[in-house]
Amino acid sequence: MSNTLIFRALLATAIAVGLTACSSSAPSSKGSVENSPQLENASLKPVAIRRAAPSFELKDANGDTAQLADYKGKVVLLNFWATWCSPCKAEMPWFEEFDKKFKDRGFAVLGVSVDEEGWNAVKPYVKEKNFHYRMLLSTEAVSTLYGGVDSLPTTFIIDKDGKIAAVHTGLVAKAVYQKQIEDLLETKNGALPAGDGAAEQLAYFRSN
Amino acid sequence: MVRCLLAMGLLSSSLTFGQTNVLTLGKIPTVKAKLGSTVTVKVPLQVRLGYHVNSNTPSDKYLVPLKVTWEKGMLASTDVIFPKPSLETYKFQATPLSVFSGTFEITTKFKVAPTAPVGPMAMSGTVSYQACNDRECLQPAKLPVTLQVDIVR
Repeated sequence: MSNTLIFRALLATAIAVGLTACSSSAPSSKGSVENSPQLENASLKPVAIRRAAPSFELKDANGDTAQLADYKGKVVLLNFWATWCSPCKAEMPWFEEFDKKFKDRGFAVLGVSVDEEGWNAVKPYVKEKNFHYRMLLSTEAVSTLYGGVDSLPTTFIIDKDGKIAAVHTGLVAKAVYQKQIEDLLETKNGALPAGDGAAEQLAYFRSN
Repeated sequence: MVRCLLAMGLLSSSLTFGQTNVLTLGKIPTVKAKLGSTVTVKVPLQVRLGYHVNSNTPSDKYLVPLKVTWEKGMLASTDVIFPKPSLETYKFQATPLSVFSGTFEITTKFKVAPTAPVGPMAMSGTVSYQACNDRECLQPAKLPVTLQVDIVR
Protein backbone atom coordinates (compact mmCIF):
# COMPACT_ATOMS: atom_id res chain seq x y z
CA MET A 1 0.00 0.00 0.00
CA SER A 2 1.37 3.42 -0.86
CA ASN A 3 1.96 6.15 1.71
CA THR A 4 -0.84 8.19 0.15
CA LEU A 5 -3.31 5.36 0.60
CA ILE A 6 -2.33 4.86 4.25
CA PHE A 7 -2.69 8.59 4.86
CA ARG A 8 -6.13 8.66 3.24
CA ALA A 9 -7.30 5.65 5.26
CA LEU A 10 -6.17 7.24 8.53
CA LEU A 11 -7.72 10.58 7.60
CA ALA A 12 -11.03 8.87 6.76
CA THR A 13 -10.98 7.10 10.12
CA ALA A 14 -10.31 10.33 11.99
CA ILE A 15 -13.09 12.15 10.11
CA ALA A 16 -15.52 9.29 10.69
CA VAL A 17 -14.77 9.32 14.41
CA GLY A 18 -15.17 13.09 14.44
CA LEU A 19 -18.50 12.91 12.66
CA THR A 20 -19.73 10.32 15.13
CA ALA A 21 -18.71 12.60 17.97
CA CYS A 22 -20.54 15.52 16.38
CA SER A 23 -23.70 13.55 15.70
CA SER A 24 -23.85 12.24 19.26
CA SER A 25 -23.74 15.69 20.80
CA ALA A 26 -27.00 16.96 19.42
CA PRO A 27 -28.75 19.38 21.76
CA SER A 28 -31.85 18.28 23.57
CA SER A 29 -35.42 18.61 22.44
CA LYS A 30 -38.16 18.83 25.00
CA GLY A 31 -41.56 17.18 25.17
CA SER A 32 -43.13 13.80 25.80
CA VAL A 33 -41.15 10.90 24.43
CA GLU A 34 -44.13 8.58 24.27
CA ASN A 35 -45.77 10.86 21.74
CA SER A 36 -42.55 12.00 20.12
CA PRO A 37 -42.90 12.48 16.39
CA GLN A 38 -39.23 11.52 16.01
CA LEU A 39 -39.90 7.85 15.52
CA GLU A 40 -36.76 6.07 14.52
CA ASN A 41 -36.73 3.57 11.76
CA ALA A 42 -38.67 0.65 13.17
CA SER A 43 -37.27 -1.88 10.74
CA LEU A 44 -35.61 -5.01 12.04
CA LYS A 45 -32.27 -6.26 10.80
CA PRO A 46 -32.69 -8.63 7.85
CA VAL A 47 -32.68 -12.23 9.11
CA ALA A 48 -29.62 -13.09 7.04
CA ILE A 49 -27.33 -10.61 8.80
CA ARG A 50 -28.49 -11.12 12.38
CA ARG A 51 -25.83 -12.44 14.74
CA ALA A 52 -26.41 -14.66 17.73
CA ALA A 53 -27.01 -12.84 21.01
CA PRO A 54 -24.11 -13.70 23.36
CA SER A 55 -25.10 -16.34 25.86
CA PHE A 56 -24.91 -15.48 29.55
CA GLU A 57 -25.71 -16.66 33.03
CA LEU A 58 -26.83 -13.99 35.47
CA LYS A 59 -28.53 -14.02 38.85
CA ASP A 60 -32.03 -12.68 39.24
CA ALA A 61 -33.51 -10.95 42.28
CA ASN A 62 -34.39 -14.33 43.85
CA GLY A 63 -30.85 -15.63 43.46
CA ASP A 64 -31.84 -17.95 40.62
CA THR A 65 -29.65 -18.23 37.55
CA ALA A 66 -31.05 -16.95 34.28
CA GLN A 67 -29.59 -18.02 30.97
CA LEU A 68 -30.47 -16.57 27.61
CA ALA A 69 -30.78 -20.15 26.35
CA ASP A 70 -33.80 -20.54 28.69
CA TYR A 71 -35.67 -18.20 26.36
CA LYS A 72 -34.99 -19.95 23.08
CA GLY A 73 -38.16 -19.88 20.96
CA LYS A 74 -39.26 -16.60 22.54
CA VAL A 75 -38.84 -13.01 21.49
CA VAL A 76 -36.77 -11.31 24.19
CA LEU A 77 -36.34 -7.64 25.00
CA LEU A 78 -33.01 -7.43 26.82
CA ASN A 79 -32.70 -4.01 28.45
CA PHE A 80 -29.53 -2.74 30.14
CA TRP A 81 -30.42 -0.03 32.64
CA ALA A 82 -29.47 1.57 35.96
CA THR A 83 -31.35 3.25 38.79
CA TRP A 84 -29.42 6.48 38.10
CA CYS A 85 -30.49 6.56 34.45
CA SER A 86 -33.59 8.71 33.97
CA PRO A 87 -34.14 7.86 30.28
CA CYS A 88 -34.06 4.17 31.27
CA LYS A 89 -36.76 4.78 33.83
CA ALA A 90 -38.96 6.42 31.20
CA GLU A 91 -38.95 3.20 29.17
CA MET A 92 -39.40 0.68 31.97
CA PRO A 93 -43.17 1.12 32.44
CA TRP A 94 -43.57 0.35 28.71
CA PHE A 95 -41.56 -2.85 29.16
CA GLU A 96 -43.79 -3.82 32.07
CA GLU A 97 -46.78 -3.25 29.83
CA PHE A 98 -45.26 -5.25 26.93
CA ASP A 99 -44.36 -8.09 29.28
CA LYS A 100 -47.96 -8.42 30.41
CA LYS A 101 -49.46 -7.85 26.98
CA PHE A 102 -47.29 -10.25 24.97
CA LYS A 103 -46.23 -12.80 27.60
CA ASP A 104 -48.72 -15.40 26.38
CA ARG A 105 -47.52 -15.02 22.81
CA GLY A 106 -43.94 -16.05 23.50
CA PHE A 107 -42.37 -12.81 24.65
CA ALA A 108 -40.25 -11.94 27.68
CA VAL A 109 -38.52 -8.87 29.05
CA LEU A 110 -35.19 -9.19 30.86
CA GLY A 111 -34.01 -6.09 32.68
CA VAL A 112 -30.26 -6.12 33.29
CA SER A 113 -29.08 -3.58 35.83
CA VAL A 114 -25.51 -2.26 35.73
CA ASP A 115 -25.80 -0.57 39.14
CA GLU A 116 -22.48 -0.92 40.96
CA GLU A 117 -24.33 -1.11 44.30
CA GLY A 118 -26.09 -4.23 43.03
CA TRP A 119 -29.36 -5.43 44.51
CA ASN A 120 -29.13 -2.88 47.33
CA ALA A 121 -29.88 -0.23 44.71
CA VAL A 122 -32.05 -2.27 42.35
CA LYS A 123 -34.48 -4.08 44.65
CA PRO A 124 -35.90 -0.98 46.39
CA TYR A 125 -36.43 0.75 43.05
CA VAL A 126 -38.12 -2.24 41.42
CA LYS A 127 -40.34 -2.66 44.47
CA GLU A 128 -41.21 1.03 44.56
CA LYS A 129 -42.22 1.01 40.88
CA ASN A 130 -43.93 -2.38 41.13
CA PHE A 131 -42.18 -3.92 38.13
CA HIS A 132 -42.79 -7.62 37.67
CA TYR A 133 -40.65 -8.57 34.71
CA ARG A 134 -37.46 -10.47 35.44
CA MET A 135 -34.57 -8.38 36.69
CA LEU A 136 -30.95 -9.51 36.50
CA LEU A 137 -27.71 -8.01 37.71
CA SER A 138 -25.04 -7.55 35.06
CA THR A 139 -21.39 -8.40 35.36
CA GLU A 140 -18.54 -6.64 33.60
CA ALA A 141 -18.05 -9.72 31.44
CA VAL A 142 -21.65 -9.74 30.24
CA SER A 143 -21.66 -5.99 29.59
CA THR A 144 -18.49 -6.46 27.54
CA LEU A 145 -20.08 -9.28 25.57
CA TYR A 146 -22.87 -6.88 24.67
CA GLY A 147 -20.53 -4.18 23.40
CA GLY A 148 -19.53 -2.52 26.66
CA VAL A 149 -22.88 -0.86 27.33
CA ASP A 150 -21.20 2.52 27.77
CA SER A 151 -24.44 4.42 27.55
CA LEU A 152 -27.86 3.60 28.89
CA PRO A 153 -30.46 2.54 28.10
CA THR A 154 -29.16 -0.05 25.67
CA THR A 155 -31.76 -2.52 24.49
CA PHE A 156 -31.46 -5.62 22.35
CA ILE A 157 -34.49 -7.16 20.66
CA ILE A 158 -33.73 -10.85 20.25
CA ASP A 159 -35.67 -13.07 17.88
CA LYS A 160 -37.04 -16.56 18.49
CA ASP A 161 -33.78 -18.10 17.21
CA GLY A 162 -31.72 -16.19 19.77
CA LYS A 163 -30.40 -13.69 17.24
CA ILE A 164 -30.23 -9.93 17.64
CA ALA A 165 -32.93 -8.39 15.46
CA ALA A 166 -32.49 -4.79 16.65
CA VAL A 167 -30.29 -2.74 18.97
CA HIS A 168 -31.32 0.58 20.50
CA THR A 169 -28.98 2.89 22.35
CA GLY A 170 -30.72 5.68 24.17
CA LEU A 171 -34.37 6.44 24.63
CA VAL A 172 -36.56 5.14 21.82
CA ALA A 173 -40.22 5.83 21.11
CA LYS A 174 -42.56 3.26 22.62
CA ALA A 175 -44.16 2.66 19.22
CA VAL A 176 -40.83 1.52 17.78
CA TYR A 177 -40.43 -1.19 20.40
CA GLN A 178 -44.03 -2.27 20.05
CA LYS A 179 -43.80 -2.48 16.27
CA GLN A 180 -40.63 -4.55 16.41
CA ILE A 181 -41.96 -6.92 19.05
CA GLU A 182 -45.19 -7.44 17.16
CA ASP A 183 -43.33 -8.00 13.87
CA LEU A 184 -41.18 -10.66 15.51
CA LEU A 185 -44.16 -12.32 17.14
CA GLU A 186 -46.44 -12.22 14.12
CA THR A 187 -44.14 -13.32 11.34
CA LYS A 188 -41.30 -15.78 11.00
CA ASN A 189 -38.82 -13.72 13.03
CA GLY A 190 -40.01 -10.48 11.51
CA ALA A 191 -38.99 -11.49 8.00
CA LEU A 192 -40.91 -9.78 5.26
CA PRO A 193 -43.54 -12.11 3.83
CA ALA A 194 -42.99 -13.08 0.21
CA GLY A 195 -46.64 -12.47 -0.68
CA ASP A 196 -48.79 -9.37 -1.06
CA GLY A 197 -47.93 -7.94 2.36
CA ALA A 198 -44.34 -7.14 1.43
CA ALA A 199 -45.10 -3.92 -0.40
CA GLU A 200 -47.16 -2.60 2.52
CA GLN A 201 -44.45 -3.46 5.02
CA LEU A 202 -41.77 -1.85 2.93
CA ALA A 203 -43.93 1.26 2.62
CA TYR A 204 -44.34 1.31 6.40
CA PHE A 205 -40.60 1.00 6.99
CA ARG A 206 -39.83 3.75 4.50
CA SER A 207 -42.40 6.09 6.00
CA ASN A 208 -41.05 5.55 9.50
CA MET B 1 5.86 9.08 6.96
CA VAL B 2 6.26 7.85 10.54
CA ARG B 3 5.60 11.39 11.81
CA CYS B 4 2.54 11.61 9.61
CA LEU B 5 1.15 8.31 10.92
CA LEU B 6 1.82 9.41 14.49
CA ALA B 7 0.03 12.71 13.94
CA MET B 8 -2.99 11.03 12.40
CA GLY B 9 -3.08 8.47 15.19
CA LEU B 10 -3.02 11.25 17.77
CA LEU B 11 -5.78 13.10 15.93
CA SER B 12 -7.89 9.98 15.80
CA SER B 13 -7.32 9.12 19.46
CA SER B 14 -7.98 12.68 20.61
CA LEU B 15 -11.31 12.67 18.77
CA THR B 16 -12.22 9.37 20.35
CA PHE B 17 -11.19 10.60 23.78
CA GLY B 18 -13.19 13.78 23.30
CA GLN B 19 -16.27 11.71 22.62
CA THR B 20 -16.16 10.01 26.01
CA ASN B 21 -14.95 12.96 28.07
CA VAL B 22 -18.16 14.84 28.76
CA LEU B 23 -16.84 16.95 31.63
CA THR B 24 -13.59 18.80 31.08
CA LEU B 25 -11.45 20.88 33.38
CA GLY B 26 -10.46 24.46 32.62
CA LYS B 27 -7.14 26.04 33.49
CA ILE B 28 -6.55 26.69 37.18
CA PRO B 29 -3.87 29.31 37.96
CA THR B 30 -1.21 28.46 40.52
CA VAL B 31 -2.58 29.04 44.00
CA LYS B 32 -0.58 31.37 46.27
CA ALA B 33 -1.15 30.10 49.81
CA LYS B 34 0.16 31.91 52.88
CA LEU B 35 1.01 29.77 55.88
CA GLY B 36 -1.93 29.53 58.28
CA SER B 37 -4.31 31.41 55.97
CA THR B 38 -7.49 30.38 54.19
CA VAL B 39 -7.39 30.33 50.38
CA THR B 40 -10.22 30.10 47.91
CA VAL B 41 -9.79 28.06 44.72
CA LYS B 42 -12.19 28.01 41.80
CA VAL B 43 -12.30 24.90 39.63
CA PRO B 44 -13.70 25.76 36.18
CA LEU B 45 -15.58 22.97 34.43
CA GLN B 46 -17.23 22.57 31.07
CA VAL B 47 -19.97 20.10 30.13
CA ARG B 48 -20.07 19.02 26.51
CA LEU B 49 -22.80 20.64 24.42
CA GLY B 50 -26.08 18.73 24.60
CA TYR B 51 -25.17 17.04 27.89
CA HIS B 52 -25.78 17.83 31.54
CA VAL B 53 -24.44 16.50 34.83
CA ASN B 54 -26.54 16.05 37.94
CA SER B 55 -26.04 18.84 40.44
CA ASN B 56 -24.70 18.28 43.95
CA THR B 57 -28.34 18.11 45.04
CA PRO B 58 -30.09 15.91 42.44
CA SER B 59 -33.87 15.95 42.16
CA ASP B 60 -34.19 12.21 42.62
CA LYS B 61 -32.70 10.04 45.37
CA TYR B 62 -31.49 7.50 42.79
CA LEU B 63 -29.42 10.01 40.80
CA VAL B 64 -25.66 10.32 41.24
CA PRO B 65 -24.71 13.73 42.69
CA LEU B 66 -21.78 15.87 41.60
CA LYS B 67 -19.06 15.64 44.24
CA VAL B 68 -15.61 17.05 44.81
CA THR B 69 -13.12 15.35 47.08
CA TRP B 70 -9.59 16.48 47.94
CA GLU B 71 -6.75 14.36 49.20
CA LYS B 72 -5.44 15.17 52.63
CA GLY B 73 -2.35 17.32 52.64
CA MET B 74 -0.94 20.64 53.77
CA LEU B 75 -4.12 22.27 52.50
CA ALA B 76 -7.27 21.03 54.23
CA SER B 77 -10.58 21.51 52.45
CA THR B 78 -12.97 23.36 54.78
CA ASP B 79 -15.86 24.15 52.44
CA VAL B 80 -16.97 23.26 48.92
CA ILE B 81 -19.39 25.69 47.30
CA PHE B 82 -21.38 24.75 44.21
CA PRO B 83 -23.15 27.27 41.98
CA LYS B 84 -26.94 27.40 41.85
CA PRO B 85 -28.08 24.52 39.64
CA SER B 86 -30.56 24.83 36.77
CA LEU B 87 -33.90 23.09 36.89
CA GLU B 88 -34.29 21.61 33.43
CA THR B 89 -37.10 19.55 31.95
CA TYR B 90 -36.21 16.75 29.57
CA LYS B 91 -38.47 14.66 27.41
CA PHE B 92 -37.76 11.54 29.46
CA GLN B 93 -39.08 12.99 32.71
CA ALA B 94 -42.07 15.17 33.53
CA THR B 95 -40.50 16.75 36.61
CA PRO B 96 -37.47 19.08 36.25
CA LEU B 97 -34.00 17.83 37.08
CA SER B 98 -31.41 19.77 39.05
CA VAL B 99 -28.41 19.92 36.73
CA PHE B 100 -25.34 21.79 35.55
CA SER B 101 -24.60 22.32 31.89
CA GLY B 102 -22.30 24.55 29.86
CA THR B 103 -19.56 26.10 31.98
CA PHE B 104 -19.58 26.46 35.75
CA GLU B 105 -17.20 26.72 38.69
CA ILE B 106 -16.90 24.84 41.94
CA THR B 107 -15.27 26.80 44.74
CA THR B 108 -13.26 25.18 47.51
CA LYS B 109 -11.91 26.89 50.60
CA PHE B 110 -8.69 25.48 52.03
CA LYS B 111 -6.99 26.08 55.34
CA VAL B 112 -3.22 26.18 54.88
CA ALA B 113 -1.32 24.33 57.60
CA PRO B 114 0.91 26.74 59.56
CA THR B 115 3.61 24.09 59.50
CA ALA B 116 3.50 23.50 55.75
CA PRO B 117 6.87 23.59 53.98
CA VAL B 118 7.34 26.77 52.00
CA GLY B 119 7.59 26.32 48.25
CA PRO B 120 5.74 24.67 45.39
CA MET B 121 3.52 21.62 45.93
CA ALA B 122 0.64 19.85 44.23
CA MET B 123 -2.80 19.12 45.62
CA SER B 124 -4.94 16.35 44.11
CA GLY B 125 -8.68 16.02 44.00
CA THR B 126 -11.46 14.30 42.10
CA VAL B 127 -14.72 15.50 40.61
CA SER B 128 -17.23 12.64 40.53
CA TYR B 129 -20.12 13.10 38.12
CA GLN B 130 -22.72 11.37 36.04
CA ALA B 131 -23.76 12.82 32.70
CA CYS B 132 -26.74 12.39 30.40
CA ASN B 133 -28.18 14.02 27.32
CA ASP B 134 -31.85 14.05 26.43
CA ARG B 135 -31.77 10.40 25.26
CA GLU B 136 -29.10 8.53 27.16
CA CYS B 137 -26.90 8.48 30.24
CA LEU B 138 -23.23 7.65 30.57
CA GLN B 139 -21.69 5.62 33.36
CA PRO B 140 -20.68 7.59 36.47
CA ALA B 141 -17.17 8.96 35.96
CA LYS B 142 -14.34 10.67 37.81
CA LEU B 143 -12.30 13.66 36.66
CA PRO B 144 -8.92 14.13 38.35
CA VAL B 145 -7.98 17.67 39.38
CA THR B 146 -4.48 18.83 40.29
CA LEU B 147 -3.80 22.18 41.89
CA GLN B 148 -0.38 23.75 41.67
CA VAL B 149 0.19 25.49 44.99
CA ASP B 150 2.95 27.88 45.97
CA ILE B 151 3.18 28.07 49.76
CA VAL B 152 4.61 31.35 51.02
CA ARG B 153 5.30 32.91 54.43
